[in-house]
Formats: sequence, C-alpha cells, structure tokens
Amino acid sequence: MATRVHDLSTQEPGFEPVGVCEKIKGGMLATQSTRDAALVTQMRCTPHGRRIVCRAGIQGQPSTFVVSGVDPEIPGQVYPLATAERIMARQRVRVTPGYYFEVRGLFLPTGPAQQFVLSEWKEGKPGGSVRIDVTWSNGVDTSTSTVKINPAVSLLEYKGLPTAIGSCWNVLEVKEASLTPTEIINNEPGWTEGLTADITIVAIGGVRPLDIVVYESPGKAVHDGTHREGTLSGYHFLLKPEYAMTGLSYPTQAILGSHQANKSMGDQRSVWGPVLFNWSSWNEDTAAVTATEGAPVSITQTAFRDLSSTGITGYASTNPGWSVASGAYARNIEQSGSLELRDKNGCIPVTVRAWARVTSVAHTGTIRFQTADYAYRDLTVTGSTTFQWYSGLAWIRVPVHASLDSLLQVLCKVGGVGQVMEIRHVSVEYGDGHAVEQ
Amino acid sequence: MAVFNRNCKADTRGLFINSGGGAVDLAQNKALGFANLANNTTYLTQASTLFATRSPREISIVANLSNSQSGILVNYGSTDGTQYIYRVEISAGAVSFRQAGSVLASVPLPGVNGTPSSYVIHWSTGFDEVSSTHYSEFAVCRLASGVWTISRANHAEPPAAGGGWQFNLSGYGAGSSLFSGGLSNITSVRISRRFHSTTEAREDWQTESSTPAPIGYVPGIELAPVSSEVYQADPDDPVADAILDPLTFAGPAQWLTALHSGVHRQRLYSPIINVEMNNPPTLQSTWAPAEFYKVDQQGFFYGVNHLYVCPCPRTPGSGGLYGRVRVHVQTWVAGGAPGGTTPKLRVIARASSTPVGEDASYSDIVQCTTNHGSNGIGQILDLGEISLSPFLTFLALGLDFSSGTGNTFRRAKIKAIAVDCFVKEV
Repeated sequence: MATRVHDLSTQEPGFEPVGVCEKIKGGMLATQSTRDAALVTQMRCTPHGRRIVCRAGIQGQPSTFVVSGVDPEIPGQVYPLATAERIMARQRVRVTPGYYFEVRGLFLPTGPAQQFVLSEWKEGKPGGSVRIDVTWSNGVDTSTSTVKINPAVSLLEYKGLPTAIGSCWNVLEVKEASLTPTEIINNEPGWTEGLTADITIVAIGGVRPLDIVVYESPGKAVHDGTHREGTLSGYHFLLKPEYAMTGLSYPTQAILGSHQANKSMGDQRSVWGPVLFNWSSWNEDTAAVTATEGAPVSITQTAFRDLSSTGITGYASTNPGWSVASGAYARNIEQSGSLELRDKNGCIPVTVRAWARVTSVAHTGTIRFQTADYAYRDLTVTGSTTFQWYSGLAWIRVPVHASLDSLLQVLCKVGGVGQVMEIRHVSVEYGDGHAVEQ
Repeated sequence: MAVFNRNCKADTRGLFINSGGGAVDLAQNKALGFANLANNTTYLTQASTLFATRSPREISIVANLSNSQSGILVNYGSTDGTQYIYRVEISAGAVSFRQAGSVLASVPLPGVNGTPSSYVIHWSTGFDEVSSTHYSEFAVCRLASGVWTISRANHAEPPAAGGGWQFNLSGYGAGSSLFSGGLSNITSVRISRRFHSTTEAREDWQTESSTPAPIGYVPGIELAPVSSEVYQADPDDPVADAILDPLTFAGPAQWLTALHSGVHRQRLYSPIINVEMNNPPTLQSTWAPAEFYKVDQQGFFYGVNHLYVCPCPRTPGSGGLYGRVRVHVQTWVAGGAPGGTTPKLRVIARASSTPVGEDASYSDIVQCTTNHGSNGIGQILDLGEISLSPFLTFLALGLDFSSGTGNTFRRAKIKAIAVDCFVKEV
C-alpha cells in the first residue's frame, strides 16, 4: 500500500467544526467534498499542541552551579571538570503521535572548568554544554537520540558573570535544537506512534543554564496500512473513490473509511492530553561541585509529609504544589459529562510517576499524588535499592477550565521507623490506560 | 409522575433510595423505569442478571455504620454464599471488598465508633488496556467529617454470574449474614455499568461543587463517547462488499468525529510553567546577587532566575491566547524590625517574545500583606490573566517589597509558579 505523508506543522490552525457538521448532518446531500471536510477537522486537532514534556533550570535559586568570579587556580575544586556530567532532570512521557521534540534553552555565559594536574587544580579545557538524551521505546524496540547545546563562553575574568546591577540580562543567550526518533522503531522516519520517551537533561562542564524545556512540536503524519493512530489517512484524493462515503482513495481498502475516522478520534481522546509537570531534586545553588545528580529528598517520616516540606503533613488546596488546571481540556464524557459531574467538577485519568528507591529492599515507601480530599493515588516504592521509575494510573480531580484553581500535592511516608525512601524526580501526564491498536 | 433521582444516571442498573421507614425497595433505572425488588422484610433480592455487573462497574453504598455492626451490605452470587461476583461486607469497623471468594481490599471506616454515622462506600472497577489488568478503587468517606480513605488493587476479571445467582441487598441467599444494622440504616445503593471516579462519588453523595466561573472560551464536553474499536473489514474486500457492513455507513460517524474535533482541539494544551521550587531561597530588598536583578519603571525587580522559556500552543480559532498566572508566596517580617513593620510583596508577571523584548504584556499586580511567619506555608496569589504570543514567549516574575517603615526587614519566598493557557474568543 502506498504511503502518504502529511505535514502537520503547516496545517492551517483555524477551522470551524460546527460549520462542517452543518454540511454533513442528516438530510444534507452527501458529497465527496463535505466528507473530506469532515475528515480534515480531525487532522486540524493535531497542530495545536506544544506540550512541555520536561523542564529543568535554576528555578529561583540565587546562584548558578558554576560559580562566578573565583580564580580556578586556587587550592581546591570550585568548578566542575570539563567532562563532568550532572543530570538536571529525568522524565518519561508518552509521545503524541505525529510529534517530535524540540529543545529551547536560556543560558548565561559558560564558566570555566578545572582539571587536577600534578597535584594542583588548574583551569581546564574551556566550554560546557547541555546534552538531552532521549530513549524512544515502542515496548519492543528502543532507539536513542541525543542533541548537545553549546552556549557561548564568558569572555570576562575567570569566565565569570558581569557584576553590575542587572547586567546578566544583557548576556542572555537562547539556544535551540530538535530531537526526532530514528527510523529503527518507526518504519517511517520522523513518524511517532505508540512511543514512550525517556528524557534526561544533562549539564556538562562549565555551562550555566537558566531554563531548559523539551517540548513537543507537530511533525508529520505518515499513513500506510499500519500507521494511522490519532490521524487520518489521506483526505486528498488521488483517485476517485468508488463510493464517496466509504473507503478513501483505495477502492479495495475499506479500512480507511468512516469507521477509521471514528477510531482516529477515539485514539485522540484517549491518548492526547496535557503533560502537567515534572519535578527534579536538582538544585543549582546547593549541589556539590562533584554532584552527578540532585541530592534526593530523603523520606524517613512514618506519617505523610509534603515532598518539599516536613512542616506540611496533609493536603490543602492552599499549599504549595502544582496546577492541574490544564487537565480540564482532557475531560471525557464518561467521567466528566454533564450528567456525570454536572459541569461543576472534572476528573481525568493520569499517569503518575516517581523516580525513587528505598535504601533497603525490605523498606517500603508510599508516594501520594493528591488533588483533593477525595482524589488521590498512592504509589508503593519497595524491593529495590536502585533508583527507577514507579508509575500508576490515577483518576485525579481537575477543574472544568484552565483558568480555575486547582492544586496537586505530593505527599510521602515510609512504612516504619528507621526506613528510608529517596525521591529524585516526579511527574504527571495524561493517560487513560488506553492501548492504541493498529 | 415519578422523578428519577439525580444520582440515577445513564449507566445506572439500579438505584435504591431509602425514603424513610426502611422503604429501600425501589429500583430506579432509566431504561426500565421503576421496579421493586423482592422485599423479604430484612433483605431485598433480585434474581435477574441486571445487577451482575463485572468490569467496568461501580457500586456505591451510603449507610449508617458503627464499629459494632457486621454483615453483608450487598452481594451478587450463589444462594449458598460460596460464590459471588462481588460482596461488600463490614466487620469491626472496616469494609471488606470481596470478589470470587477473595478479599481485594479491607478499608477501615475513618472515625468509626459505637454510634452509627453516615458513610459513603464506593467501589469502582475498570480495565487498564496498557497493563492488561482489571483494577478497582475502593473509597470510604465519613460524611460528618469529610474524611476519605482510598485504596486500590489490580485483580482478575470479576467472574460471570452462574445459574441461580441473585442480587441481595443485605446478606446473601435467604437472609444469611444480614447487615446487623438493618435495612433502615442503608440510605442508598447504586449498581452501575461504568467506572466512576472518586470525584464523581464525592459530587453524588457528599457535596456538589458550586458552579464555577471560568474566564475565556470554555470548550464543551463531548456529546457522546467515540468508538475506539478498529474496523476489521478484510482489506481485500471490494468496496461493494464492505459497504454492506454497517460499520461503513459514513454519515453519523463522520458527523460525530467532526463535531468532536471541535471539543478536542485543545487536548494538547499543557501548562507553560508549572514549577514548585526546590528549597526556595529567602528574598529581601537587597536583591542579591545584584547582577541577576533589574528594576523597571514601576519598581519591580526581575531576576534572571525567575525567567522561563514558554513555547505556547497555537490557538484553534480567532481567539487570543492567555495564561492564568498563579504564584505561591510566603511573606513575613524578619526579627529586629521597627514597630509597625508589616509584610508587603507586590508581584507581577511579564511576557514577551524575547527575554528582554519590548513587546511585553503584563498580568495583574497583586500585593500580599499577610504575615505567614518565617516557617509559615504561605498562600497562592492569583495574578489573573496575561496575554501570550503564540509559538514562543518568555515569562518573567517581577517582585517588589515597596518602601516604607521597615521595608528592609520584609522577607518572602516564591514557592511555586503555574501558568495555564486558555483561549478567549474575540
């Protein structure tokens, strides 16, 4: 079967589904053009997203990891080695079909590195970078993509930052890159479907990042007999169909017909939704110069405490935490319909994740993701002293619109006195446990 | 004309409402209307498979319970009690959720004591296609306190009903293991054919939320679910044959998908900032390090450490794109401050197309004067809406301790920032 490629990034964003519905409602004359218009509306759902799937940065801290204004040739290590790597964020997300990743970073000028030569610390090879590693997986095969960003190096003494009031605003640099899955697990280069991505943001050497986001951007839809999740096969006719209202341009391929249109929308509503947030324990200000990853939050309390504060021991909508208001866009009728929740409240399925471990295999930790007194999901962490992803399906309360208030809080505890659980990363994204079929 | 109860929904197989005096024998079902179950004085039964729901499914019970009560509240199984699809039983102040002879979960009733108090018991079952497992959520709420306890388990598919099995409200079979509180203490029971969230349980049985007042364009909820089944026609079938399959009738399916595309066009909208700070530093009017902060004409200090890259989503129509900005702050006064010193922090958000772009838009200015204390939690400030430019925006946070008595003793922490996007139709 032939392959069709459709560039999602150039799709006209504006469309009027109600007008299309008017043309194909009962009693109207069925025509090829109106049928085409109905199918096009599905494709126009695809270009709107710019989901930020992973974020890392300084996030309010008063200094960068790479300090400024210190002579690198003094006794002791104050700068990282040129090749020293530190993981700022980890994330696992389900990739929107047809999308690929872009990276945009905001940087201050890169500082120096050090090297230990003849028992003395000297200034090392100049430069620094941020590397984004992505491992794509379709559950069977994996593939990796890597991109490295190299911001400019400071030209000031000791490769430091300017010191005048507000002067850092004058030396900001924005750098961009993109990440696309390789052909190995896609059959069609650039086409993503049914993929999960493991992302790490790694800072190397003297780089001074302020904010780095990995976000999705619409790529292209590639259609053939087995690639059509969430998108619809060619609505531009190359051949006249035998019957305008059934299969499209392949007279012997009924699988591209109206029911496929319905399936595409079913996939979209089941798989498409927001990435709500990711959090990392990385701290630019407090991380040791030899750190390779953020110091984990260590949980020793046997009663729930907030991830970020031992003084907060329960859920309250006024506590610090994360918004889940954008979850309002992913409400489905089964859970949040006018009859079910009366247009006053909302509920969506999400996948909650934590990169965590216990310090003894016999220890047990609990991580609670909570959005209301009546909506939470507990993850159990146990059995391994190695950091790994723990995840689960949760039904969380969300408001009915993104402008309304909401709060997700992460609470943690261990199973007994003397037990320890450590957490480095947590994240929440939309996901309803729907497995997309070909 | 009898009116259906508000909690009788499209998927409700049976809803029982105690109208007083123990009259809980009325089953409401929107397909079948109203029908009485067999009333056996101390228990009710129904022999049909109407309530033999498996997965997805919901079972809700509202009952007055104490720690001295025991017995089965609802059961669907054999009359000898040895086999069942589901069974909800209480004993010693805890609820047991049972399936096919096994206890899936035992959830203690929060705050239970010797005096009966009204509780919601909520058991929802669904299927996770990704992990190919059936799962259940078990929730119990003490209505007097609003305290919920929620548990969860993966399990095998609930068994199918066998011959001669029946539904019992209280006990099983011919009145065995009856609920010791009696039918009069069972306020309502609902058996449904859909997974219900605990949010829905709260709205149905505890408190209905007040009507929200969102700003901007509000996408409606879908009108109907969309089929996710795959059309299985043989690809080699000629269209002349395929069209005979009812699944290929195009009009309704295409109308439905076109209609739903309007609802779903913002499904990929995610927050452009959603950050809870990791160990946020204490801020004061010295604004250190100085090189990080610049001040604008309104006296707001903008730090490069609160400057965020925000790729924005496209707008689906003619509406403008906005972000709702919320900032969690903690404000207090440091020790040694002169008398009369009060906390004061003004906060604003600024969006522009480049980090220092002149094409800036601003949020509302919100002032926090609450003294949360140096160890306090703080509060969320709603900075209102900010106009965003599609594709790429940089968003910065402006802060100001203001002048006045003791302003150098004012302290603050920025604990979280969230910006959610929405569209306002023009």
